Amino acid sequence: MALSPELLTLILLAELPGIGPVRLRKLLERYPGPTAAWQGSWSEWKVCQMPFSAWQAKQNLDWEQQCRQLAEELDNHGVGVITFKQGSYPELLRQTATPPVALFYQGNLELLTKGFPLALVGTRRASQEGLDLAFRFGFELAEDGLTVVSGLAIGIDGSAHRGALEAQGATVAVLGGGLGCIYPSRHRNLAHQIVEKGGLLLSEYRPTHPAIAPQFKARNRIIAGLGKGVLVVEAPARSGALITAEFALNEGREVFVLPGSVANSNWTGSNRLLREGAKLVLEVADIYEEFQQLSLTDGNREQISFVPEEARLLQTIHSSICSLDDLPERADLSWGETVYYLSQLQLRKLVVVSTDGQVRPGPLWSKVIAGLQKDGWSL
Amino acid sequence: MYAKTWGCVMLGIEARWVEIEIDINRGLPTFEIVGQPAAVVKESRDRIRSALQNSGFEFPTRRITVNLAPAHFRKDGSLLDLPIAIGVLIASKQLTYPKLNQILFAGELSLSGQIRPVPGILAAALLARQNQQMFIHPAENNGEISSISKLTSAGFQNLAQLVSALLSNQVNWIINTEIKRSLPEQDPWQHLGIVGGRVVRRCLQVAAAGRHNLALVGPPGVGKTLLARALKGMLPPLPEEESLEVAQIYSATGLSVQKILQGYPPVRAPHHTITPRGLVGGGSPIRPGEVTLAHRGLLFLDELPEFSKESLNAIREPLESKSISLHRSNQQVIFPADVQLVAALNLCPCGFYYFQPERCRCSVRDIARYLRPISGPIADRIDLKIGIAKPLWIESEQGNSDQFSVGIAEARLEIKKRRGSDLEQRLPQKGRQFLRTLASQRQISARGYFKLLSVASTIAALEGLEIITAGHLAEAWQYRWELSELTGEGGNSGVIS
Repeated sequence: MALSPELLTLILLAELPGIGPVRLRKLLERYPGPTAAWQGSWSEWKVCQMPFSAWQAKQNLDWEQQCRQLAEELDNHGVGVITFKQGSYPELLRQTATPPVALFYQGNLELLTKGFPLALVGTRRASQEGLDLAFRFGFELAEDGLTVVSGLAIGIDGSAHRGALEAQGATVAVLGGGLGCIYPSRHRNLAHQIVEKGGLLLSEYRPTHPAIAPQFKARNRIIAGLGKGVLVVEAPARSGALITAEFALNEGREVFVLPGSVANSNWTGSNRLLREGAKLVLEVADIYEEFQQLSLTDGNREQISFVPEEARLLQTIHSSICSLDDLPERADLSWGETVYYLSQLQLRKLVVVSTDGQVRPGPLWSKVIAGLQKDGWSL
Repeated sequence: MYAKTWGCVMLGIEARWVEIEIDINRGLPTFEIVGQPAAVVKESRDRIRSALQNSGFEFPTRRITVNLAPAHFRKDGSLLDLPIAIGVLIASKQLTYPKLNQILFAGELSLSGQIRPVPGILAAALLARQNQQMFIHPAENNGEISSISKLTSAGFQNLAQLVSALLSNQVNWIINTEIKRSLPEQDPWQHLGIVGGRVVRRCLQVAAAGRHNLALVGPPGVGKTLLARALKGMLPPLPEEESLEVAQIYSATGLSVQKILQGYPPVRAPHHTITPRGLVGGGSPIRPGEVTLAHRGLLFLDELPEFSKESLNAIREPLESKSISLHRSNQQVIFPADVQLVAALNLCPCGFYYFQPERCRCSVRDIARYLRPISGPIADRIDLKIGIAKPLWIESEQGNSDQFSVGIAEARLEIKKRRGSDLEQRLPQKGRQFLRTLASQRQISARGYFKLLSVASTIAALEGLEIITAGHLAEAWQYRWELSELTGEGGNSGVIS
């Protein structure tokens, strides 16, 4: 990939201390190009209200060496870059108050201009229930052809990405650090899979830039900016997901929220958003309602069916969550049959057996209802 | 005037024979021991001198040289007191006995001439049996010795009795033929007053039958330790050969062997502050560690993540190879260490993560750091997990009636019968199909694959079956242990990290 000096200089300018997207744009308006801006004198910079520290920092840098270094870095990590002036820059993001000047990426860049992006966010300290929901909505949205945008964080984010991957759909992960040092490291494998399976990794920072706390807030604005709406899955009172929702509101994007129990503090933030007027979501169709260009595509969902034993187990689980200890009696099956058919259902991700032996609806539960009804099993 | 007797010393947990030569000659009165005696053996000179004199014998006032052969290793321990004393008596013509070559002596002497019990007596006795020698030992060790069959032995209180018996050729030799062993029969569940659901009981049954490594996961106070004790109660008695093997280890370490000889499998539960050396053995002279003391039994590690990283790393090798080889300066020993690991753990420092998430205040990083020491190789060696969310004395609606603690001994025989058979050959078509689906949908490591098969074969053995069905595999899969799943990052919920 050929990188022009103009592009490299733009990145270098964006990295100067005290210069954010807004100031940078102001600076660029005065000069014909980034290289010219780089060579500008202090008096000119002063007119643009640039901080002296930034100019000084620039003066101390060897431009040629910095450009070479940056080009090498991008090359080494296999990372590409787009700027806000290019056509491949996402239009939705460009419209926001502070679009990043340059975006570093790995993977399928087309996702930024094609398809229907929707952000899916939530807490990092997620409950199993939240993780399952994130997986399920990630799966269903991706299956319906939407692009799932999230932040690759532990918890809800990761689950949403996985759901989308499971559906072999499109997903975009926006990182709070450089693409060369994936954070959290636990999700390195997930990041790899996203790129592998036609997804996209994005970052505002150069590949070797470490992930530090303040950057995550800035990252959230990109997530909100990329999506036509934001779906909040599980958010306690002080959650980064709420910040993302706020960014979305400020940009006039839709905010969707999955409701949680009043008694569960892990959902306090979600429920407050609902009180303030966010759209309550029980199933993906509730999201599609808000967008005219999306038609309900229930028809193309894969239909599934069950053998009688599986149906009996599913009926039992549908009526109430119960423990594996009691399941055989309730479903009137032997112990051996129960574990066998339950494993089959688990492998199909229709039910979940948690470590403490609770059998619960799984990430793809919505298919179960449709499947059971289709075959005439009572619920 | 020259004499020769047989004794032995301990090296690790084994006894090694020592040929003791005694030479009494003219010269200044001295008493020298050569052939790498350790301090304890050198001190035996004073004990022997007093013991002989106080038992009414004469201690020769001449030049006495004792040689311990073979000379190439260091002799430690007080087992040699008795054979040296006997040798001195023979060399000074105070004692004659025709079949001296056929006797192995072991025992420590007190100044009064009493023969005191010594650690390692079982190993010495087994050595005598192996060499087809008769065995003379302290009377106080009678209990242990009587558990060894086909051994000709005699125990003595003091030196005077022993010498008079030898002189008059009226040693009361005892040969054990049949050994009585008994374990009390009781339901460990009832005994401990716990209930536990069907899954918990079944999983313990499988663990007990197949000696699978087991993890007990749950918040504080739900009864993880009780479950470990229930498992202990479910284990079948050790076969005689195995309990002798274990008893030999205990005897060498100076621990009580009574319960072991009755057939109880050993159970060790070291505290988490234990050092690697305490866990796998070491020191000088080399002593066995907890993994060796739990040989053929249970090694219970409570609060697994609290053990030091070094300690956990140290048990990796023995868990795999079922033995541990230690090298110290000039010695090398191999200790047996065929243990069943039972680990209890919380998933975070406060213990509530996953089970009662609303009570847990640990950060993601805290949790990752807490579990890091066990995440890799140790977690990989655990076959089964039991997750316990609610206390075990709370009865579940149904499923308490299954007699899951029976049939374990039978299943073990079944497993023994099929040892070495190719597990994959025992899978019917449907089972293979199931495994393939599993492997394609989940990332299963090679080790995980064989662990699953081995647990499934135990379940099959509990039903007395050779064929491993898809149902067996499915059940084994329900009990599998994946750390990533427990930390909410994938696994069972269809989410793979």
